Amino acid sequence: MPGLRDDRRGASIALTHVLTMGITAILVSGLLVGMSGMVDDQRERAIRNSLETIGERLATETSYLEEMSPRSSGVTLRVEHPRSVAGRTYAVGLLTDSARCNGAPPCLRLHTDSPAVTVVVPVPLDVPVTDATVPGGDLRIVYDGRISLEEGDSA
Amino acid sequence: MLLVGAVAIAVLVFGVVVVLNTMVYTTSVKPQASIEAAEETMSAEQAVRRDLKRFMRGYAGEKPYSNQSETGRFEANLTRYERRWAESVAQRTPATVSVDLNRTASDSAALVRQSTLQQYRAQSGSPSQDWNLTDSGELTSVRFEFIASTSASESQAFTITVRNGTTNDWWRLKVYKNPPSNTTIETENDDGITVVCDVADGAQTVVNETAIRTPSKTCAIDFARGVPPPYSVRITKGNKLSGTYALGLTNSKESRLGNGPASQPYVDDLLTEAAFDFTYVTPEVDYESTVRIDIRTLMVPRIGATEYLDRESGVTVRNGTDTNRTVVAYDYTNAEARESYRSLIAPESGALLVYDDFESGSTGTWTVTGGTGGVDDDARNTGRYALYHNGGGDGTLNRTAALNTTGYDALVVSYWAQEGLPGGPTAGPEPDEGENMTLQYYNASGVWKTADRTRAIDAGPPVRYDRRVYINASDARHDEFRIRFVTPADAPSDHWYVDDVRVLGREEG
Repeated sequence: MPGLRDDRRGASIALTHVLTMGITAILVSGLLVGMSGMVDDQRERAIRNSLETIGERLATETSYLEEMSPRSSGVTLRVEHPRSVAGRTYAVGLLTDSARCNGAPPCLRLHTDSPAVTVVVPVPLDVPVTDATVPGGDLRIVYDGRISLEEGDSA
Repeated sequence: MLLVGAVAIAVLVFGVVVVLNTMVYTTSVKPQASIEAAEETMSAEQAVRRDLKRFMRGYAGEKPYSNQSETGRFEANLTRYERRWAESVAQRTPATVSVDLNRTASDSAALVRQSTLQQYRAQSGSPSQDWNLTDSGELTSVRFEFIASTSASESQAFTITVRNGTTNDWWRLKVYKNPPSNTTIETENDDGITVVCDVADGAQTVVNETAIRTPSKTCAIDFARGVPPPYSVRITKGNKLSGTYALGLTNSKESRLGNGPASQPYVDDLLTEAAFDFTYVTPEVDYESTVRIDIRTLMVPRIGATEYLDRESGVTVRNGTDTNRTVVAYDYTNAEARESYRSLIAPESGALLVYDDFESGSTGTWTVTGGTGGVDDDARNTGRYALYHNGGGDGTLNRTAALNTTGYDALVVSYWAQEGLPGGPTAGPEPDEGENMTLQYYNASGVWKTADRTRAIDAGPPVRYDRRVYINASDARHDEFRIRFVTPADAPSDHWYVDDVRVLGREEG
């Protein structure tokens, strides 16, 4: 009959469990740690993509407004956009500052603080523009001789 | 086992992140109702513009002018249209639509008319009514009639300005209410030259004087005597014009009015461009615009379909044997009014296809048939020479060179003409009544069609015409378009002069 030092039956099971759990923990931790960075990258990319999409759509809507403006004395276009992108609120500005428009004013400038993501979408307009920055979400694009951006009624 | 489970959990977490990310992305690319609403709005405006054009075409075909008595019916029809349109739109989308005539934003031209039809007549109404005319106010919706037969204060006056469209001379006609009678009517030009205002009891005559001695009489006024037409008329100053007035520009003895009215002529308001306020409101869009419909391009051509009509652009200056016969533009019937209106507002712009001023001293591309004729300097509009036909038989002044008018929607033929030639070296009888000169064009079927007619006035000084004829008949658009003037004559010296012939091609869009 083997002595306790030589008896490996119970120890083997416990050790196996300990080792398995340890390895699993290390694996999961490693995966989570590794993926958290990946998620951050994904979020930033998602925010950027979303802002670009919103910006492009807003630019299209603004160009529609400009198309309507020559015959009109006043147009208000109420547009719906997400209030947040990837869980982050954002601001959108219709700007004429060349520096903030990456040298191509006027532009739509969409921005989140955390993570800091900025997207600039050029909006070629022949109609004068009034600079304004408003929180993202439901908006009003207004033409009354000039085009400006305003917060929507339900914003 | 656990290792496999751990890996599965990690993959699951990764999958959740990817799915959430996709959802966020998907949310932002959802189609936006605002784009559709904007497109719907523009389509709606286009439809309204198209409908209004049809609406105004029908309206212009019936009544080429708008006056106070007609406005109510016109706007009632517009209201019905607006209601039907709004209901139609509301069935498709929640929207509020309105279409309203904006008289202030509409453009008008003034035409002095006369008619026996009571419905076309306007009076200033009760004695307390103010017309509220202001300095430099353009005549847009006011139609007026003056009969110097009501008692009034001389201090209540207004001014009509007659503008010579050629030289930009401005003439003022001041009309004071009457009686009492001193200094009641006067006309003067900007140089201070007083124009005759013939007013007397019975056969009224007052020269360089301004008294109306009899309140029941009207004053025959020669608008801007000596200044060739065209003119436009507008009110430039006035206030508190209570009572009933008359311009007093003709009288019942005016035989040349044919079956025209004996009543006083008056200025009518002609809608030349109608402006409509269009409003379209949906949950996504508030849209306001002004839809403008140019009525001048909608007139139904009636070339050659009317009897003589003296339809000068604005005011016709004409002196007959009776000095009281000074008349202004007028009309007899709706059809003729349409002609008058069309001529009055015929566009002055377009591609210049022809301009003949005969300043070379030769007929050039023109030939004269019948009687004698050619180019001389006994009469002219501008420069030195003009083309003429001198009676001895019916004749024509033919422009032999053809024009290619295809590609144009309409043509405007303008010309200056003079009937008679008193005082010249070949002076003699001028064309008699009925020997009217007609402008004809050669149509696509090879037929000469009459486009305009200038009337021969028996006796008296020469009558000058400044005509502008709008032709949008489809048979005028071909590559062999030509014009000619037909000049009937029964005497050797029945002169007709023509100068400054222009043909403009217009693309109405």
